[in-house]
Amino acid sequence: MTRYISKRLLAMLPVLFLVSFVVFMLLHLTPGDPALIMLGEEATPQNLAALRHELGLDQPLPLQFLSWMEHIVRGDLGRSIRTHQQVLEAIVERLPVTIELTALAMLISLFIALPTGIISATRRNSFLDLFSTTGALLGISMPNFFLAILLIFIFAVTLRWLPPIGYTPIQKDLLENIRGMILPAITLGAAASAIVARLTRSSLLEVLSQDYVRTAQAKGLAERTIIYTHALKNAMIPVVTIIGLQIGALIGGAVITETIFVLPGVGSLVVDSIFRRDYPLVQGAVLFISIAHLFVNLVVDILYAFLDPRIRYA
Amino acid sequence: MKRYSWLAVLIIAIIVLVAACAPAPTAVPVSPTNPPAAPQPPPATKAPAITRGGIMRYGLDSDLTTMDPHMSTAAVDRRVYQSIYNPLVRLDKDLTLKPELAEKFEFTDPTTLVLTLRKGVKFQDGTDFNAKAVKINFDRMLNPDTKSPRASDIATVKEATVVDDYTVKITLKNPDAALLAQLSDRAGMIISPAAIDKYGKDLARNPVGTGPFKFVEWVTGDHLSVTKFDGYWEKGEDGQALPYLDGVNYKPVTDATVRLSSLKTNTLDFLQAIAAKDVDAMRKQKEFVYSEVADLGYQGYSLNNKKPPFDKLEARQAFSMAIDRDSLVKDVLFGTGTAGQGPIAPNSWAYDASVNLFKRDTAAAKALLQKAGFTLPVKFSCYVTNSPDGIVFGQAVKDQLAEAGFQMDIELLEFGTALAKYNNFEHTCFQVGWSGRPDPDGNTYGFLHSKGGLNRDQYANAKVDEALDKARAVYDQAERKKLYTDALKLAVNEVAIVYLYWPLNVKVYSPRVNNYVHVPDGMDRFKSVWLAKGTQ
Repeated sequence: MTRYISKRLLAMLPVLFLVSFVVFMLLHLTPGDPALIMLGEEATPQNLAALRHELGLDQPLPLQFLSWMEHIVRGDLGRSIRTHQQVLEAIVERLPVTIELTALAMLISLFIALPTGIISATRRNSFLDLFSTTGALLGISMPNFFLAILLIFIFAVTLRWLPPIGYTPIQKDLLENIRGMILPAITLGAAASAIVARLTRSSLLEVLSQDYVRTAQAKGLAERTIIYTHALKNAMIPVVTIIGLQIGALIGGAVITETIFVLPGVGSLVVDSIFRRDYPLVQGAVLFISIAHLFVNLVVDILYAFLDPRIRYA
Repeated sequence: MKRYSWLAVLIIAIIVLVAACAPAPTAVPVSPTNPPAAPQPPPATKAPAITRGGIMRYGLDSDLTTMDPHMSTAAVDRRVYQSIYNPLVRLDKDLTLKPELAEKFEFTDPTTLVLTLRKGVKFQDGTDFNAKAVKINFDRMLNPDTKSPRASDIATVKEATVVDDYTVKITLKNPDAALLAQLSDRAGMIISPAAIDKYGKDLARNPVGTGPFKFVEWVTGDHLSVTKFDGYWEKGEDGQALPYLDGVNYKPVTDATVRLSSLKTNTLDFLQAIAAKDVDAMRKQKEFVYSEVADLGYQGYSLNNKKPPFDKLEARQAFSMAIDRDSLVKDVLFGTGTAGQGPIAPNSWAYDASVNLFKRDTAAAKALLQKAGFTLPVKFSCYVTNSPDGIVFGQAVKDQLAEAGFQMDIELLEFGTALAKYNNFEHTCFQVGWSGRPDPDGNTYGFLHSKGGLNRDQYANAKVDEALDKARAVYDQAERKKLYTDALKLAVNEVAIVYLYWPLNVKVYSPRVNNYVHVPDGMDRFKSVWLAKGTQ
């Protein structure tokens, strides 16, 4: 297992290199000049040229990339060209918000998805099944910015139960922190819960039609025992895969959710930095998100072995 | 189902429980001394008892970029500077210039400006404010190594010299009647010399000025907070030092709908701006104070005078003739503007209504295009920045142009991209505006003078150049007004830029906010604002 993990970790390196390269190229090929955005329309050509030189933007692209990589290897993600803050510091400062949001969103989505998926699989074609599959379809189809505004309108503006925006650090006020996180977490978790619910349903249905389940039923085992002890564990393998993928998607989805709900997380940092062409910040943050993605995938692969003892890693 | 119904009950119970722990539903309370004001104008400051204390929660429309005024280009930053810094001169709501850090300002000859500074002023770090500090600030902006975007505001300044502790002499390369107005904005904001030395580039995140509030913390993307500066020099109506507030919490909320919801739910007290679509409803409601004043800027279309089809005068004139400005303002902007032509807004002393030259006439526009040899429809592509209000406006203009024989293809671009293309003269047409400057020079020279730094349309007319140069060199207001009118009659007729309307500056705030003065530059100054007790 240790060998497998180290192999996987090593395999991450080329992936990270490729991701960095693609992000770097896309960003630099996008029209828009950081120097011009920083100095504004009234900037003189001399000042623009001087700033581009200072930021190293007058160097050929491959050289810029190599210089960035060289710094990365030394653990230096550089400084924001706008605020002069260390990129790593900016990301670490915002990390707790994104982790909390993603975790809560995942929790909410599982809280909704697993029972819904199980109910609609065990009561196939019933009204409940129809209701939950329709709900899942709605959850997948509804863009999260729309859901966000809808939730704000209902829970913040009309009912005035929850605040529409803002973030309170956990250490400052736990209750306020949770109150501020409920709407963003539901917004972010909705689509994921719909996907997981659908997959749980189909996966469980497939398992329930297998011979060993029929045998169990013939033995006269209680339905509850059959579902929870025998069927569910096997049905969970594809579900765990999709949950893993969803965590990645949630980190990406946090970009929009954080912006709407004014949460100071990594997602809103990325959006803001893209608009300002703050190259070091965007590159650093995307690199971080990619690493998070890869780690989640690794954890999912390791989890397979626990769910299905037949899977062995050599 | 029964088996799982506990789950649904549990979820609902958790939401209700957490919600119930919230402060009681916050119907916006109203101070007895200040009943909800009629939508406009803002309440007169009759309220007798000034209440000290409280934190103003302010909603910005985008995130902040730098707290160093000499390095600033984003308008959003200027709102916070009003709290942290004082300018040398102050812009009043009638657009006149009043003493601020400079008690007296006088041109002793056309190229010498003498500033007599206020005594007893301290920076928030304890440093004394004096002539040396002002000189250090001017030197910093003018030093090419600083690469200050504000250097262009004081481009005519040759040097600043210290005459004595509280007198500074500004020597100009050539006369500049617009300089004083520039000193009411970022170029005139004085930073602590000790902070400049201490922080260098990190001043962007560690601002120190002489303003009524001192910087506390800035969590990028979340908030920037300032707290009352105990050593502030100005006194309030109660004879004690300003400000009345304990602090201001600036919060960037980029989504306009969410921003307005935050005011409605008492999460914010004051909004920098609202979306055009919400204006009508906010004017009619009675729960919040709605305030609007004519802005300093203009909105319109920038047409590249060197690129077809707008290299031909007839095409530019036909564009200007094709537009029904009144209908755009009324139907698309919900009345948040004044239809008209020219870069100088009606609230300026330099405004002259005679420059409104074009009236909508689609038949004449078509005839003009045909006479110039164009085959209809005349096709061109136009940059429109990707914002909901901008897109709706662009589509309305497109429709109006179609009736006059044009086919405008809207090219939606993100602002940074559009700006880069515009700066490289790549545009044929760009739906763009200018935030405006208090002095008419700031709205004209850069764009209409053939050597103007912002003349991306490459418009050139020797007579316009001459009039704009002269308007800089004379200090008499009546004479300057005549020169601007002469220049604009030519520039509007030759359609250097298609001017469409002057926007209104709109603010919406809680009725608890008292003593707010809405200045046409749209900047919010909170030194003498106070909050009625009772909420938060």
